[in-house]
Amino acid sequence: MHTVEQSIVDALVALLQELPPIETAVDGRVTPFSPTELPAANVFTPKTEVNPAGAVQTDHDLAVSIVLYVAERTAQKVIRSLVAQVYAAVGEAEQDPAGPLGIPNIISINDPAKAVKCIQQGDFIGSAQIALTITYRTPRWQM
Amino acid sequence: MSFTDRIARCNGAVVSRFAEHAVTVSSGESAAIVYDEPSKLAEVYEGQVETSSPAGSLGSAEVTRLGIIHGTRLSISKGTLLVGDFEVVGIEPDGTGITRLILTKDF
Repeated sequence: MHTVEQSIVDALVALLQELPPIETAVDGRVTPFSPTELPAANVFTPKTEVNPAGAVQTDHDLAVSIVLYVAERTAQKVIRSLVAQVYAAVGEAEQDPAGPLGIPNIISINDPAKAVKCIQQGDFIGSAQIALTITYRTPRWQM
Repeated sequence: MSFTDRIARCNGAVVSRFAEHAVTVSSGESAAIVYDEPSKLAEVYEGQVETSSPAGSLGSAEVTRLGIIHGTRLSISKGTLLVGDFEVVGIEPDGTGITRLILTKDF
């Protein structure tokens, strides 16, 4: 069964895959990324809060986590630049006349927040976690 | 022969016996090193990235002779084959004459 939530994740994965630096964009992958797949973007939806919107509709606050990975000598700089590119792309997609991300059900995209972590192993690995809340409306008992 | 002398002799034998690689610093000086690069999974946020943990062991006296400190850039080779260029990110002397260099790829 296709859902609005899946459409949102698919739209985000497509948006991320179109960014020139991104080599691999995927939906909630839990297996490791190899060096040749980087830079990579991984979209997770860890939680949804649901609120009634009248008698027959429901508003969903979908927590989205976009995790970016790079392996570069200057990982800190590269990951910051990549985060800025993701923000810009989401900002542009927010203005889509068909609705944010091209999905009419979406009411808003809020709370952009990020965390950055760099670790040094055989490679310099930079990672960023971008947190968004995407609010969308469906009939009751749909998602 | 003191215990320290025996350990030093043993360390020398270990490096000369098992070292198949050479470490070369920017001055061009080199020394034998026991090099390894096991694979490693780095866990960051919800995911994992495949990487490795390059490192090498050599005599502590050689570390001093080559002037290796944190941040030193060096090359590892095996015979005429260049394994790679690295930066030293950790120096771990064992206290008995062998030092393990923790490396990261320098690219």
